[in-house]
Amino acid sequence: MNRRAFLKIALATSGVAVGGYFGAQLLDMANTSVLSLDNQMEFGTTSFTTNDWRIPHLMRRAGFGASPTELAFYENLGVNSTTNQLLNYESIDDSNLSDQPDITMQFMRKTPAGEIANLVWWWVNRMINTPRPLEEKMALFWHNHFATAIYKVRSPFLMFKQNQLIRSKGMGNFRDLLMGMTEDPAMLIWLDGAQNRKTAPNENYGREVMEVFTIGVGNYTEDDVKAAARALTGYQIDKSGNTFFNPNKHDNGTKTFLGQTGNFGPEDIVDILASHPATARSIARKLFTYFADDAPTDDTINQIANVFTATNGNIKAVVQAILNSYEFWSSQAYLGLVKSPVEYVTTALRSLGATVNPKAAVGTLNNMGQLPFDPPSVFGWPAGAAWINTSTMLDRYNFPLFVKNLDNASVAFEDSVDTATRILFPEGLPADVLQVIQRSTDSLTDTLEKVRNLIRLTMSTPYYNLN
Amino acid sequence: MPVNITRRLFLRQLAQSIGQVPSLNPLSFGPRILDMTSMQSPQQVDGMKNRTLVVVQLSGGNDGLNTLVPYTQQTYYNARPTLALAKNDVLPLSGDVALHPSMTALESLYNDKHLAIVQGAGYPNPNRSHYESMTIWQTASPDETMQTGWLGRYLDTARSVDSSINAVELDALLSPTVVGEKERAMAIESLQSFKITSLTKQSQTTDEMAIKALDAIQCSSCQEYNNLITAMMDAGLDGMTASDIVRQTAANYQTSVTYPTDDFSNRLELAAQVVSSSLKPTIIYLQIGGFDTHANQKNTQANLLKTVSDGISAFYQDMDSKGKAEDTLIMTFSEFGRRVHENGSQGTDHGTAEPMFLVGGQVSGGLYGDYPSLSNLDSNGDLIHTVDFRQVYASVLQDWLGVDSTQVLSSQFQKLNIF
Repeated sequence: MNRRAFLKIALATSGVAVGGYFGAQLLDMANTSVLSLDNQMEFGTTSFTTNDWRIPHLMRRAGFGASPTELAFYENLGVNSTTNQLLNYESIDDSNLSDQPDITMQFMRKTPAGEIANLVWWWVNRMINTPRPLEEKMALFWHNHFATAIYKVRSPFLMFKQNQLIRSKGMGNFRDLLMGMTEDPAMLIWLDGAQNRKTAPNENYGREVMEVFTIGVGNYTEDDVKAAARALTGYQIDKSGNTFFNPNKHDNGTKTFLGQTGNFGPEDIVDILASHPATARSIARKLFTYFADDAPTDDTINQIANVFTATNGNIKAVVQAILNSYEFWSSQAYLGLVKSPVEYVTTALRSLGATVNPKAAVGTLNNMGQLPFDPPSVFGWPAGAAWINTSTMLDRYNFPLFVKNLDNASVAFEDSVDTATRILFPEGLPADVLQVIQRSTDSLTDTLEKVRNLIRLTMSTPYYNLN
Repeated sequence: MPVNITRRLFLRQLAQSIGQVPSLNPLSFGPRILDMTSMQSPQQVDGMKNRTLVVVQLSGGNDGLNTLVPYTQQTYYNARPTLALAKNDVLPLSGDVALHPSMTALESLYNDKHLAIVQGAGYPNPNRSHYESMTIWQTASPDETMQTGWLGRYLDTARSVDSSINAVELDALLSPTVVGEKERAMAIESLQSFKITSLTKQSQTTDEMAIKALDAIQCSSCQEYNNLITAMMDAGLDGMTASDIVRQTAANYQTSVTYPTDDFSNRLELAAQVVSSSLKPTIIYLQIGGFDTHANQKNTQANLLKTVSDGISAFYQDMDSKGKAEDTLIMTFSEFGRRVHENGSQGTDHGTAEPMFLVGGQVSGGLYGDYPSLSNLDSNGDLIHTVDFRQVYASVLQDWLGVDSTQVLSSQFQKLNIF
């Protein structure tokens, strides 16, 4: 059966219309014919049996992969409860994580040597070690959505504060998050909001808040940009790096914005944009693309957008609907994305329980084109095939050699090459690929070298590089 | 048979011709049967073969008015109370326009007739979104969304007759510009990282072993199911081969020119190394960001323009010193210019038309197109373009790269006689 056929048959026999959603209702994995129908997940000439692929798939998408111990734990919980636990992470103890990066914890417009790397590694390390993977996965999503870069903000402290904002509001109400971002000091520097004054408005934030953060191109005019800029005048940043609103710099005049007229201020702009139907669709599309499949149908997006609208922009409800959608569990979605550089690095270290020199990890992320806290522009990073080129593939072949403390892999290797490679690709590599790894490993004498070689080759397979 | 197979065979042949490289496992070709007879032999015939086009993308929207300054127009000074560049400071090229004071290096190239400046480049119904307008310039398609870049389509066209044509973007990730339907440029982020690291510090044999294993590990059996896998396989295998070619020959690169020490010039020096390698790329693409000067534009733009001007000049001198000036063309563009009137933050907001710079030994130096009117503006207070940027692309495609520009641009554009 080919990949698309799986989905079609699954939908046909389940009696649910194509694109149908369970909405906020949780799918009962154990008793749903859709998923018990076909335990095989085919991928090329390989097929994975029973439930082998489900938990790994879920952990790759809603987290950063998982170690064999974690996988065993979640397998035991089952898909339903695992999804629940991933979504409702607030009660999970995460005191093992550092909440303070090694940076100067005060506002200044400079980046002391090493602080960018410290900040990046602090976050990457959280992704590797968090017991709440979806929390960090969402933070990474919102960082890419509200893409703000340190190359202009030039304040590790304000970038850290913005990171705290997206973590604290990232699964709440979209309107609150948007309001928080509108007043966020790093954002006010990044898109010049702090320079936007009544006497001469600066259009930068007014434009991007519509184009990138909410409704998207085609839903506003140049006059709307100007009106938004006027309504958003008045924000300033004090010496401590805190935002304040200066009424004297705010334009109190009447504005016409997206068809509505009034003496609008920032809260009004945020309200209008957050409740705009185009925002529901664009956030739904971006979240679906991030978690499930990068080529959704309009119908799919409309259904996810309906969840957004019905819950007044409750982000967790939208993510839940995506993780419980047919499409998320389809062969179309399975291994259908490319691991981003951050996913490539964190999944390996998390799965292996290994370590790396932070500088090497940060350097590799930079070489691969995804340095957290430093996206290329307000549009964030590209995705999918854009991660693949001659330069980044060589980076992917080389990074494994930086990985240290391979005890878990060494123990697994004593069992077999297959067992060891399953740490990185739990479904198991196909026989012909395993043979190559076996042969290559056999040609070495030193045990640690054998293990390093095995890890390098596994991380260089398309299987590991897909997500 | 996919085009890439001939490309890969070509690259491997090239690598083998310049030194010892492992002969790779045919397993990696999988079902794409190796057929040496159908492989294009590298063509070294016509005079265009050795030419290089270096495209420099100025990201963020460079303020054209303060780059090519209408220094005799009072309207300019009225619109820019804090940002206007004083008459005494600018570098006059004619009675009407002058270069920004920091662009002395390009001024001397202009005086030597090696710099052509296209004034007022833009397109109808200008889009003021960075993303949208950059996409328009990159795809050369203002009216409909295209998934391919103009240089990617050039590669599609050119490689269908000569699979040995190479293109390189000097960056971690590829711009949409250099991605075609079938073909795409290679990415080289740096020479240091563009290599396969040995598993051990022992010997070349380990390298060979690593490369062979990496070669064999690619999923030969599943490629037909997934174009992502094909893309990974192509990029990984081409990267391994190309890294041998570039590193072996770039090691012999020497220059008498002192490049500035900033990142942009580092990249241009890398460009010179790659151009000097056996890869002989026809296209080099690189970008420099930071031009989105909504606030405090003056120093930011001055520094950026100095960086661009000094870097391009150093690269051109380097090529000249190697006798390659006649084979070198450097072209700059940005996604848009900026608004005529400055804003309240001593910056400028998104605008429209902008000047493009073309530097080269075969360039007929001078000004092309008319300077856009500062008084007859569009409804948004922005310049109305006088030259369609696709006219410049058409000139470069036809007269520099020697391909039918209509195949790449879908329609005919009146060329400028830049060469």
